[in-house]
Amino acid sequence: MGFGRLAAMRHGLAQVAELDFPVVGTLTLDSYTRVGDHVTPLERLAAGEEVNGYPLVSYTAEETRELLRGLEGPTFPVQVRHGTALPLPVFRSLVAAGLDATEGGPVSYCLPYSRLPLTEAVDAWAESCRFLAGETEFGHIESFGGCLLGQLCPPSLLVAVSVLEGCFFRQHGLRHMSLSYAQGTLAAQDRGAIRALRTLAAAHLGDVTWHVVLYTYMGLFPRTPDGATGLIRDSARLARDTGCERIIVKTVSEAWQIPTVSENLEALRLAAAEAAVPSDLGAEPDDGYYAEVLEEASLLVDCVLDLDPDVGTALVKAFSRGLLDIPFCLHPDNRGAATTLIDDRGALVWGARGRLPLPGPAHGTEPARLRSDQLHNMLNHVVNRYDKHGAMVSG
Amino acid sequence: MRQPFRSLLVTVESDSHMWNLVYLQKVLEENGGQVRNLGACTPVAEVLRAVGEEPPDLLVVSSVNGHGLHGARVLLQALREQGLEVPCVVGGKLTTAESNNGAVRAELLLLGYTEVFTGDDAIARFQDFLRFGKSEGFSAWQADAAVVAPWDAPTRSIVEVY
Ligand code: B12
Repeated sequence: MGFGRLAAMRHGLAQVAELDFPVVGTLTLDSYTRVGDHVTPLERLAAGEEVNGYPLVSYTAEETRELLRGLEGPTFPVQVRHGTALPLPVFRSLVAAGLDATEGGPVSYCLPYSRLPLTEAVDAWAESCRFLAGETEFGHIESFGGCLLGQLCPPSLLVAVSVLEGCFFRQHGLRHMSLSYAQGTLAAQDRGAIRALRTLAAAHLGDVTWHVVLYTYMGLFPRTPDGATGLIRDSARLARDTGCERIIVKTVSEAWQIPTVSENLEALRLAAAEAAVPSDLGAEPDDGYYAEVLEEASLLVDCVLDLDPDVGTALVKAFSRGLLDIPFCLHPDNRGAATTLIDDRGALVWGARGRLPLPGPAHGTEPARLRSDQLHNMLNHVVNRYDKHGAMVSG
Repeated sequence: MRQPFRSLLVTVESDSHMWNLVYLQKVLEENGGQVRNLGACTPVAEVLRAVGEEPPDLLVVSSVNGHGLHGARVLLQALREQGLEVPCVVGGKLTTAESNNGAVRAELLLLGYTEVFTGDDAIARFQDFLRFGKSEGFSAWQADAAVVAPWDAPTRSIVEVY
């Protein structure tokens, strides 16, 4: 949740803090701040316009402390979500405001969020991790690797990037982290992927504390209130069924505009209520998906870590060789040879693999071959399912 | 009109959304356009350079993060300052509230955008626009006057007679 004005931001957080179930407050930063422009947000606000989040760096540390006073604390932690490729100014501001939890990663906050060279982001994230680890006792970063562009990404790549960013954080001194995964197109595949994420994280991050955070579907969202509600509910079930320690929800406004505070509260209540219902997991096994995702994600992680003892260098090499390749990502350092398809099970799978070190045919539908209507159909796969059947859809 | 027509596809500096650009590139290509896609968070300077190097038949600005209105203003002003005249259209989600769409369209048309595409039928209207542009030239397009109540369109201060 993010609002440009101090009063609106405080009001929003205060309402969230009052909920009678465990919640984490979020300060979501505006996108001028995300690209390092700390002047425009205050100018636009002064001109009577709105910005799409909270301009943490433009306000003074004292203003943010004041905003959080009496709200933020052990029972109501506040996390900063920001999407910056060069995060040091944001890290400095959040630490100065008394906070210690944030989100991102050298890959996941660069390729989807900027056009800056990956090498610059890797250096800046390394420095920022060391800063956070040095300045705070429990500094925490949640990798955004499980989201990337928000949709149409095979789960194995999401799992691999989350784990690799975890390794990067660990190398740069952080001891507390979370690994993310964004709900995809099929619950059974998602359950398998989350199990695979835990297996891989246990293997690579044994000596730090980590947990798993699920994001409600991060792509094109259903437009009807029933459809959006159904999707949020299913994400809460997914989190419950897979034992995710945290879930980040969307709202019924997602397809349209920045949500209001009450829409945020409604979404939090919905997810909390759903997560409290006992699991009714029955029929659909996820063993096949687990094995599939684990195999691919392990290959990706091992192949990258073998490139260089320094995780950041390994990540840069991997992208430049196309060994990591985010489908449809336009960033100049992304090879852009891989594509995703939704198969007849409804699962996300590779179309073209480009140079990814994965078994299977290298050539599927290449990015340029895909027609606009095919892309449109894939982007709208989840929208259509939920808007047609609304709250009826499940599992 | 040159066939295929040349288009330059950009977004505003603070906007990192890409799916809109990936999708619009395909729509433009399928409608007979050649596309130079400058990618996410397009710096104004890069748009100026690209337009200066090789003036496109159409400049397409797409933004969905809610900062498009301001970014579109800044971009057009920069083009003007460089003396670069090119038919340009803008679309997407241009502020943080859908209810602003009418006023936003009015303001951006007034500033000099050839057309503004927001809301549900944006792509359908864009396709009509492309069809027209290909035969008549994009700068010959006459946008329908925006339907906004004067008090909803505070583009400049409203002058009242006492
Ligand atoms: C995927 C997504 C992301 C991904 C983007 C990955 C990437 N790099 O591309 C991630 C997770 C990284 C992300 C980040 C953010 N996002 Co975002 N995102 C979305 C989401 C869920 C889907 C967008 C999408 O894929 N669209 C697919 C394309 C094909 O459709 P489209 O973008 O809507 O474009 C269509 C039309 O608008 C139109 N159109 C667009 N441009 C043009 C131009 C012309 C000329 C024409 C004719 C038509 C046209 O044509 C397209 C096809 O119909 C939307 C919500 C939604 N729609 O469900 C939010 C949304 C766009 N995001 C939003 C915001 C605010 C952000 C963030 C600031 C974080 C935040 N505060 O929530 C950051 C922005 C970072 C930045 N610097 O800009 C808001 C924008 C709010 C607003 N305008 O009021 C939205 C609407 C969500 C919301 N309700 O809050 N996002």
